[in-house]
Amino acid sequence: MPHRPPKALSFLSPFLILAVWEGLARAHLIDVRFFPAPSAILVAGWGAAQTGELWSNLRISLARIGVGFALGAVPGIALGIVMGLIPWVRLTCMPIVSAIYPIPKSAILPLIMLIFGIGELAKWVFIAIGVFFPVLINSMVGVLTIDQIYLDVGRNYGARGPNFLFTIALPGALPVIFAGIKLGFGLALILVVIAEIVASRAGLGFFIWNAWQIFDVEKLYTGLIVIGILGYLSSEAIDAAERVVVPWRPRG
Amino acid sequence: MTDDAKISIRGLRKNFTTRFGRVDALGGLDLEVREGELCVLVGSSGCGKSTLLRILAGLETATDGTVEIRRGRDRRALTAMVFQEPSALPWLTVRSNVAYGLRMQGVDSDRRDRVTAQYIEKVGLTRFARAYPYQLSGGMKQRVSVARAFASDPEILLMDEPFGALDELTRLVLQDELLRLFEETRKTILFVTHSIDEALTLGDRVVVMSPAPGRILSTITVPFPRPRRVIELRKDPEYGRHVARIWELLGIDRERHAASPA
Repeated sequence: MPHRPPKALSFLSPFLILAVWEGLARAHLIDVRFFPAPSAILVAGWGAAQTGELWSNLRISLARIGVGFALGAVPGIALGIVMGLIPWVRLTCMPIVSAIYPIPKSAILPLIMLIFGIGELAKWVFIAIGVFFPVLINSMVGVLTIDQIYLDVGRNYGARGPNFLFTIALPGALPVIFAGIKLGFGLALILVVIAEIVASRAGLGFFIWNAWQIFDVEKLYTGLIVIGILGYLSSEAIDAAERVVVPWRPRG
Repeated sequence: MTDDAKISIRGLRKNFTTRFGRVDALGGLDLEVREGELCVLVGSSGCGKSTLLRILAGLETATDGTVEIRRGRDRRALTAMVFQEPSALPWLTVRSNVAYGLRMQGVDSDRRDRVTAQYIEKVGLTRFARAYPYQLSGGMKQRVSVARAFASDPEILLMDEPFGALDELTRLVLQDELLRLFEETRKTILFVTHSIDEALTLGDRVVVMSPAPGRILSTITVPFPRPRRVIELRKDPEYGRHVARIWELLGIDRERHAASPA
């Protein structure tokens, strides 16, 4: 194996960019109305954190993501596995899934607001729909791509019904299901911001939209950074969960 | 069905329909395997040996004919199969893999743990009981599958070229281990291979099959006494004579041999 570069590199590169950015802003080589210095953003972010404005909005968005994600992922996994296991369910549901899945989720938002109003329920449903499809499709594919030999082992050793589900189908599909969960979580993050920009007086989406309306560019960046950190942490959390739930996979 | 027949196969046929037309895998096969016998099927690739095992294992259905496995007095699984390709479930540790058959039969955990530990020890994997299959070599994975099959203690064991994908050295070691396990437990085993050496080393009886559609060409009773050891067998001049005989049976015009008494 070739010599592996130090992992510190991946930590250093963002700081390098920030340092260059800071320098350019201070020298007024870039327009600070659009690209305020990182230090100025930090000060604005600190302020929003001090007043509690940041946390209350973050908390609201996290709650929406949490509920919406669960509402989409749990049925997605369940139906996906059933579709993977039972051909007639797959044949019945697949055309419907294929027809609905490609519609941009943002295009569905007005309809959802029409049906569910503009309260929390509408946000949950909106996020849930976005999460549901990638999780469903990955769960189904996860079951369908289980090596035939493991299905044979299950059948030969008499695994039927729930035994087959919990000792063969579910664990066999888990690695692919996790890929779906990652996709779904990324979508949840996008959708919560869309929903909050369009129809909310709270949440990170509102925080950013509000910053734009009052032309508080530093605050706008603060919102973006918080969402970026949230995305990074959630992806790390999902990876950590995968290492616990799927301990049988070799990892580099 | 004769008195001591554990497995009784009558007129077994299997046809597949593929894109290229009909394939006759088994052409009316008759076979009896006695209780406590290790019966080896040899034949060239595609002679339907694997299909036969898969029918016995309940993984395929026969087109025609009957298969009967005589049950003992106590309730136990009918078959347990050892496949050629690695079949240890990747998401279970060695211990859970070996325990799998017992778990599916609903055996209580005390007895399950005891039997599992015993067979893990017999195949020399005690140190790896908590390892996952990806951490094991090919030979160790096959040991897991063999231990799992024996531990589940079915009426009969089915082995579909279990050592076929292993290197020669590992293969000999595993043959030795299987001999020991069989001689201890005397389970009825139907073993499929295309290795004549393996057939003579392991079997009480070697059944030579024709190319597809598979039928039985000839049956050879292996004279070597048990307990056997792989290396000792190879030194026996009788061994070479038997190898040559099976070669002839497999190589020479099959119609003539099919017609001659076994």
